[in-house]
Amino acid sequence: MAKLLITDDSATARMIIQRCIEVLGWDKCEFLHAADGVAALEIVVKQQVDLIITDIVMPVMDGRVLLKRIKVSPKLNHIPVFVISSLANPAMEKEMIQFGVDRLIYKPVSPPKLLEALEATLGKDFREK
Amino acid sequence: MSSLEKLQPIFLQALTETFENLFFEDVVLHGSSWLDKDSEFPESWWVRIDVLEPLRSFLILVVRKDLMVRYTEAIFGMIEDQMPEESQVLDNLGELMNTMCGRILAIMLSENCTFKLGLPVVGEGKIPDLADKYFSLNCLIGDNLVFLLLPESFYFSEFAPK
Repeated sequence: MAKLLITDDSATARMIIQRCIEVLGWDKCEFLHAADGVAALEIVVKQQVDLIITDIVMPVMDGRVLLKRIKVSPKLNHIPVFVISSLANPAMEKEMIQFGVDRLIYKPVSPPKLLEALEATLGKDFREK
Repeated sequence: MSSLEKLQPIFLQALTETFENLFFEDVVLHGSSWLDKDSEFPESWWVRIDVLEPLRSFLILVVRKDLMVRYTEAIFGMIEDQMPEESQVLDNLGELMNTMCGRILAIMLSENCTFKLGLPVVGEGKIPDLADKYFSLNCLIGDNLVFLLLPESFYFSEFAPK
């Protein structure tokens, strides 16, 4: 079963992302939730995760640092990372690309936006994994 | 056409995109009004987000409590006898405002313009730290009125459409 880790300090935002993915037919995935970057890192070092979806602005450890930590780690840098943000900010976008983000998605998230990103990154058959 | 008139379609687009995507609801413009700092919104919550860059201002959204409870029940997939915790409803309101403000500024500002928002602050009753008079864009969502409040520092800013 595919494991998707959703990281956001807002439980609502995490549920919105999960619901969007579920209505796409990816409901067989296991969804893991983390409220900040530290909690997300604790999960990914302990178990295999197929995708991380993270917000940027979070307490304790923000999405920038989480992305950077994932992408510089030889053990973790194979995990695709989607960053979701309400801030349409060219400087931030450039920074995320430099850090190795796989997708930058602007809020509000919607099933079509996520479907395109999921299929392009994980493949169309991935939902059956 | 004044800045305020030019801002209205921007706000309506941002509200529509946000409510449609998050809650599958249509938003209809239901006029506008000038309110003073003592205006009250019974049975409602307000949420304020400060705009930190490139302008210094803020936006406030006022939503009826029962509407936010209904939205929260839907998002968390609650069934009839389950009631969301107040913290879940307020988190939902903060997320709604954060998304909507991001859309407003993304639509209003040029593509290469960076913007920064503060964290949402939620409350009920009298809204603190308001100037004497502010503009309210009134929208209808189903049978519920939702108010988007703008201070002078927003609609008179150099970034507002001229």
